[in-house]
Amino acid sequence: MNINNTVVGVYRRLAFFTLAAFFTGVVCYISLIVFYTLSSSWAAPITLSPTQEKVLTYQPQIATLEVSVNKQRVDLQTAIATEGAIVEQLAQAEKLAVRIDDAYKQEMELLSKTSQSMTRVLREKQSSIAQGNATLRSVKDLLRQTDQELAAKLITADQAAQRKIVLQSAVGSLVTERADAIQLGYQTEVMSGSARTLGGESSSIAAISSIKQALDVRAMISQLKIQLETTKQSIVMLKQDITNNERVLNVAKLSPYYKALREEVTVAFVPYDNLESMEVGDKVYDCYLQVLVCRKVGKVVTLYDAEEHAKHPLFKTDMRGRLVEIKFTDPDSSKSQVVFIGGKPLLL
Amino acid sequence: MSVILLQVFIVLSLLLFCTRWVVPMMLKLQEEPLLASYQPKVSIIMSCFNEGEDVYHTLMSLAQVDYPKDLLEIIAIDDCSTDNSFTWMEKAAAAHPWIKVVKNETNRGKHRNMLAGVEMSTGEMIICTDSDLVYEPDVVKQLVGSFRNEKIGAVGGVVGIKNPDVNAVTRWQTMIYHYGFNLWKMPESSLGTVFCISGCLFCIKRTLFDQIKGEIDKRNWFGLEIKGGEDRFMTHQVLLAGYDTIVNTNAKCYTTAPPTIKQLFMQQLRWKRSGLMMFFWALRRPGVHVKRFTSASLALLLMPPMLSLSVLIAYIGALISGDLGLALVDKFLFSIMVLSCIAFISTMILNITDDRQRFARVLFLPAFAFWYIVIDQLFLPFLALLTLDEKGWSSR
Repeated sequence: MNINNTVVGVYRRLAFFTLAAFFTGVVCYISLIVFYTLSSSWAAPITLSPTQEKVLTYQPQIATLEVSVNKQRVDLQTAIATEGAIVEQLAQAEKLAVRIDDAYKQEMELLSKTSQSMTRVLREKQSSIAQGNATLRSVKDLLRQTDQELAAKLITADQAAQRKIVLQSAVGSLVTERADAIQLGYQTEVMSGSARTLGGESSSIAAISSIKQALDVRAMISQLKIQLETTKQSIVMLKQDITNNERVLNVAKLSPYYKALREEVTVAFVPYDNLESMEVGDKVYDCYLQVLVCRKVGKVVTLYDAEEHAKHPLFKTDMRGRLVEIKFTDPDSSKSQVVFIGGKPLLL
Repeated sequence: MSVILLQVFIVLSLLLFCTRWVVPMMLKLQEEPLLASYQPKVSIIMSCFNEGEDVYHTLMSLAQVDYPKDLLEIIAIDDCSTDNSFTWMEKAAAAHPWIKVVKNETNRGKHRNMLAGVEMSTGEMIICTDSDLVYEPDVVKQLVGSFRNEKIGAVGGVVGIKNPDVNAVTRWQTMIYHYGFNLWKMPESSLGTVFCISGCLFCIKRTLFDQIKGEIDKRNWFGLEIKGGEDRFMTHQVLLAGYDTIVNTNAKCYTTAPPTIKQLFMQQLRWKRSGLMMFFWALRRPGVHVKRFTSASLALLLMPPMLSLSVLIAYIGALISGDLGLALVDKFLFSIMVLSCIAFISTMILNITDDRQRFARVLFLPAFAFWYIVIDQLFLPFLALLTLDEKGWSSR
């Protein structure tokens, strides 16, 4: 009987305290649900340290971005230097092309004039040769006459030989005259052909070679212009990329995770619903039993722009919001589950 | 951990539900005929406490059952009601002089009234019943005719709701009663091991009752007298005595469902309390149970309270770890959806099969699915566990 009484007594006390604890827990839980539903000042502190995974993963991302920006800067300098060289080459080539054009004109005029002069000389030469031909027939008569006079022994052999030498010399001169005329005719034709080729026809191999050289210069100019345009576009794109990456890098360097690479950073997750009322300089409060008996423990020093995701401290549901950096005067408060920004939650 | 337990709970619950639903459907198709030639003298023992006018209608309904009156004896005991219940009982007795009415000097509890009533009775067969019922005329024939062989020690009936369409609370209970009696108990009945024959309709052989009444009389909880849950205890004693217990779904009566949330809460708390008490009682006697029951019967006996306790532990763990909010949102929505579908189907079946319990409004079901999970499965087992020393009793 005594054992039964003891068991029942213990059971009743245990049941009473368990029920009391349960109801207290339920009431507190419901109160917290109501509180969190209505409160717009709570934030969940987080301490970011250099060894945290999220912080550590941030470092290679930043380093990769910095390497990328540096490489782009080098590429930009190279492209700018290349552009300068191309511009210089292009200027020289264009000058050369102008000079070639001028030389063409001058040479064409010169060839034309010379060709005309030579044509005139050739005509004179041909007239002279015609006269020489008439003389040649007289020479042949004189040679026949000389032979006859020698046979008739009107003249001596020496005299005949001297006379023949003189006559043969005259014939030789005439042949030379003819050869000169042919040479002159050829030269005149060549000059005339060159002049015509420079003018657009296709009569002279030499002139065509000169034209090809001129075209090579122009092709080089076109090539240089294309290179120049490409280089200019590369420069523009590189400048844009550098600007964008520098902006990203600058923003990334503003992140608390970057800052946490060097030292511990105390931040707090603030859901979007609570962000409207928060400003830099707001006081931060930490409370006992989450919401009761609060004291000032620091202030907000930075509001970060980047969106963050975190679990609701009570409901454990996913929430969206931002981080704020808090300068805690009491380091222990950075380990609290929640802090309140701007004021005490229940004015206590 | 708590989330895993919750998932286990949900899966096992669904399995259990399917078992309880599919098997009854199959059993209904192979019901055995009644033993019509067997007509022993029957004593009906009714215990009443603060029932008011309802007890009169109950007695009048009993007086009109289709059974030879010379073989029928009704004994009604008022357990010191503080209202006018006894006056109504006397009025019924005046109309039918063969109804005996007795009033206790002090409140003694239902099981003691029953023991006293059986002592006064002379019937070969005892039917224990409540004081807020109306009966189908053939209820006694159905109960008595179910004793087809010597192995059957006790037979139960089915309890419906006589006020199904009063409000959402009664509609919900109509569905719960239908599910509990027509589906839940059927697999147990097929094995001959119904673990709780309702006290509304509990038919037992006198010889067997005499055999177990000593256990009923000395029933206590660490020296404290227990006034509720006698039906579950009696059923268990019948089973441990080596007899079968079955339910005849054609033996019907209708009770008044509590129309308020508070009454529903208190009723369910009493049921949970008696269930837990019986569970712990069984745990203290593992050898006897393992020897007596098959593994299937043991599973049906232990699984429901173990599920209740596991879900209780799961939610306490979730509360302590701070995951309760998530668990409520994440798991409850799914559970409520599943339970609502189940409740909807049960209601449709009920509306088709029982003219007296029809109702059309089913929009309340999700709300009571929430009640079932949060209150019935979470809070009530916890509260029952901590109030096992409660002494009061009531029929609702």
